[in-house]
Amino acid sequence: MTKVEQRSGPAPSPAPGPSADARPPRRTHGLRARIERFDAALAETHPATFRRRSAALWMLLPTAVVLVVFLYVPMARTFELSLYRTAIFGQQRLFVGLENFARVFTSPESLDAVVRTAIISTLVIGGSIGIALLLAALMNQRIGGTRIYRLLLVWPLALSTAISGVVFRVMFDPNVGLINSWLEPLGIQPEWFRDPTLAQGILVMALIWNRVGFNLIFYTAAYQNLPRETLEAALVDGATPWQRFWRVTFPLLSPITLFLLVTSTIFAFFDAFAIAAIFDGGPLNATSLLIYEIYENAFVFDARGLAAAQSLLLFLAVGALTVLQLRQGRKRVVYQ
Amino acid sequence: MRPKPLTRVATHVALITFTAVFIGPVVYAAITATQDQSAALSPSLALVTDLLVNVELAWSRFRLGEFMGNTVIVAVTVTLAKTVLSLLAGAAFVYFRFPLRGVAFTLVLFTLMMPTEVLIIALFDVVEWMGLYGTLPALILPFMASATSTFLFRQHFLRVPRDIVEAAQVDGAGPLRFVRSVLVPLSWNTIAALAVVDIIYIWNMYLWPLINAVGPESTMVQVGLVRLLVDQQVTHYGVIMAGAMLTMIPVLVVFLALQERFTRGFALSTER
Amino acid sequence: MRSVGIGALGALALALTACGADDPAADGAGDAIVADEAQAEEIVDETEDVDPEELGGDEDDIVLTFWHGLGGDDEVFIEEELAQRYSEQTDGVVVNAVNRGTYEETLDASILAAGTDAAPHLVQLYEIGTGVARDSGVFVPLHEADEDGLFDVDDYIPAVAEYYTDETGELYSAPWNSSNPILNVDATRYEEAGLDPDDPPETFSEVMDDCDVLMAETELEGCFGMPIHAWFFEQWVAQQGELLVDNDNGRSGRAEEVLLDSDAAVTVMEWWQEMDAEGYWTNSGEREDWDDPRTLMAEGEIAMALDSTAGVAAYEDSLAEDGRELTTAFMPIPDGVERNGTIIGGASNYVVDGHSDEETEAAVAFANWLSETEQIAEWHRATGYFPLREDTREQLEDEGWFDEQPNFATALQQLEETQVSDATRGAIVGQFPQIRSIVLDAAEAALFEGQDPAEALSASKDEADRVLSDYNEIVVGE
Repeated sequence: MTKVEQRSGPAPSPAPGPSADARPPRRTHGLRARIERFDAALAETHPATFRRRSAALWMLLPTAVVLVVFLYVPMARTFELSLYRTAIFGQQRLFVGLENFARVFTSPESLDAVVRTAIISTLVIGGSIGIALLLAALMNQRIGGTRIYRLLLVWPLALSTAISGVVFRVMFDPNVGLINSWLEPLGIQPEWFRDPTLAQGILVMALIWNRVGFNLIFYTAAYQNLPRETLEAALVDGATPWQRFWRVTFPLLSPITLFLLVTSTIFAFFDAFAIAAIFDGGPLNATSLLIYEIYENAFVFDARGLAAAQSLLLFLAVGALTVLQLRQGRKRVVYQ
Repeated sequence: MRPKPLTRVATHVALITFTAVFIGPVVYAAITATQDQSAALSPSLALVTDLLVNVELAWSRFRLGEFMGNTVIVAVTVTLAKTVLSLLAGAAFVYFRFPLRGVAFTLVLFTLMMPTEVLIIALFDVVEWMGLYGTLPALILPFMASATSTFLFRQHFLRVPRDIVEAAQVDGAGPLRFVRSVLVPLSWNTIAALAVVDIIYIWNMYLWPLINAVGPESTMVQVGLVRLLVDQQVTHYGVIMAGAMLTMIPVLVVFLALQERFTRGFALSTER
Repeated sequence: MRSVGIGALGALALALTACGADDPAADGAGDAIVADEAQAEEIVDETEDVDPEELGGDEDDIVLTFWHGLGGDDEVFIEEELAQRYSEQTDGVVVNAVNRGTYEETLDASILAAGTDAAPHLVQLYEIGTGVARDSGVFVPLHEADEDGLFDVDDYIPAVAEYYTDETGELYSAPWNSSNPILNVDATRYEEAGLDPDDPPETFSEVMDDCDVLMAETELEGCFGMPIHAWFFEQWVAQQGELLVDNDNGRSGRAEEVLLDSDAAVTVMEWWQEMDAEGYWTNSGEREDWDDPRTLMAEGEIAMALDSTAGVAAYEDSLAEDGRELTTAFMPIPDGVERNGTIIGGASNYVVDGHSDEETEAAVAFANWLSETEQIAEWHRATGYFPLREDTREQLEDEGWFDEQPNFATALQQLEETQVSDATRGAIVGQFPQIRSIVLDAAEAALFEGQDPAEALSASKDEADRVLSDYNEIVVGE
């Protein structure tokens, strides 16, 4: 609850460009207002501690160089590439304007991929946050053994996403996998990787399985930092545990939920590649998420221009989603 | 107030069930890691005594030791560099006033929405131009700066009490000494919390390491292990699972060592 | 605190300077066996920085960089046996053999590196990269680079040499590791079912007949294994003497059409679908899962597996471990057609343009040495890839190798009986990897969704033609 006081101060010049504040933002909208407040607050509480501006330059330079060289330059290059049709690993190309974008929007396969990715990602985001929240809530019942549970539940997190995919791939393998050998007495032998729906189910399961630990460590940390007084006050009210959770605890956890929503979105759209790649995007493209299609087009099918256009569209979509989440979060998140 | 006994039992049952489901695949992998090829091919949960053989095969014959070394080098270097760069940048945004500061900060923040994955094609070109394709620096340099970490350090510094800053000023400390002897000691929890997140991030990276893995010297363990599944004439499941178990160790160690600091550092940095 | 801060800054500085510099730590680490030293060399990206002395040569030697896409035992064999020996026994030349990832990645990296200081001298490229490699313009045709006439097309088994010749009738690249598909048969299981393992199925319908018997007479629930891979599909089209792409499989001119709707193609897909529907063909459902039939055979869940010759040793070993015996046979073909033979798979070595005459000459000489009788015999014994030359085969015969290893003889015989034609020379076409994927889209639709094979293939043909015309438009361009 320590918070930088925001008082009025001299307004600095605003900056153009979109804003991307992924942390719990302040309440008022608009980049201009935010930058003004940011500088104003600093002017008040942190008057330039050091006058030597060159020092600031040196302190910022490494970060600036890395961001420019490895993010801004590639971004510009992606824009450029997206306007070309390419062959021979990008060595030969033909300017085609917006053809690549048009192709993404008109081909039924790519629209299927969008729908598929949206559904799978939603399930992964919801599942991994929901299960983590449930587990954190159960562990916070003061029943003992919390540390043991937490330690065991983070194990899947210690396995990288790709390796989680390997474990699930082997576990569900129709020939050498454990699952089908267990199902044998029941007389059913699902062909997990021949049925699109089953394969998607395994993909979603594996992703949630791998991610819950991450969300869980944030929720348990947040739980430990909840203000005791507020919780105990609610206890005295005589509300049921269910009511207490939704009326008091959940709102108190909302900043972290917002944070996890944003990070899980990134996970579900991008890191999910690791498992989709282990499933080769199949069968019948059932596990071919957008990020996998980008990889395949760029590095297997040698269609880098098309992949660049897909990248930009995915970037815009996830960016818009993030902004939307933050907007909604700004309205709903309760700060202590 | 502790819950009623019945509630406690029910909660434990629920938690044990969940934990069992979550730990199940890991246990399965651990058991397979002890099995020789014929046991692994006829799936069972029988423990066999081949664990050390499998570990040895994975580590040396299939070079996972080397790949693990690469991953550890990347993880340690990126985490250190990210911490230093972000700490410096965060401090610059708080303790200095300079032209276009707001613009600079916005440009840093904007990169939060630019995951490397969507830029992979162009990143490949950039790294290729720099002559770094297929090397470890290609796995390190692009990840040394972080908008998230810069932002969190800035938030943390904003809450450093003014009198501490002023005391340092009175001492006549220059910026670097101030960072070193005032800010760093005040930031260990934040540093530790971010280190946990960074290491998990690097362990989970796959797309870029996959593209950059053109030889053993630039192969990270997550890529090397998947290749074991794909590239062998006959898959050695016991060896793969033994390798998978090995890859868990560093993350678990880091998590155990830093979990208390994580809880605290993370509390400080997200409240506001 | 001070020390921590300094330490962190030091690490940063280290990270910043790490690019470009050799990692000296790599040398001193652990047991400095030969392998480790070879790897330490690989860290160096700029080939000019390699110290010839560390590769067993003299200071002034030409360092010949050879990029390949082999992994596992094959990688160890080329790097630590062949390349090393050549370096030691050849004056003035040392070979730095480096794995550049998978075949795809090796091709990609070679084309990107061409013209820079990092360009290799010789690269191993897979057969379906032939079209792109020739279109890229970064390689010198072998027959132009080979000024001393070290290579002679007639030295090689025709089915091998013909794949790699261009319109001049001479070799464009140097043949090296070659394989083709072969039927692995579990002889023990065959006898158990009362079938004669020495009379394996030769046609599609015989495969199904044998499967009926095997599944009726033994406890087998499946019978036949094969990876879901377009390579087999291509082989069966060629076996019928038909083309995969127009313009004589891209041999007489640039291919413009992918002939996926041919009767030959439909015949193959219909049989594949039937094999699946009848439960004869067992599979994991995953694409290009080479391990799948090998595992199934090892477990005794199938009695036949169609696979690459490169896998024969694996089948022999796994069956022997279980006390069963393996026999091999030619790949079964569609009913009622004459056996045209198989297309070779594998890879060949390309000379990269832009090096000095001296270096180019050295690259050609090394490529030739790799395919010489003695080395290729050794290579065959170690890896199962084909002995490329008639005299290599004779030498192996004299040594009694094929008496010990009759299964390798089967594969070689199948290769030698191949009737060389445009069909069996294989297709040269751009975007081959994507075309293969499109073929598998049709296969998955037919197998997993029960779509009519002709319809599925026709849809795939449209897609493949579009991909190809996009490619041609760029490459022919201007």
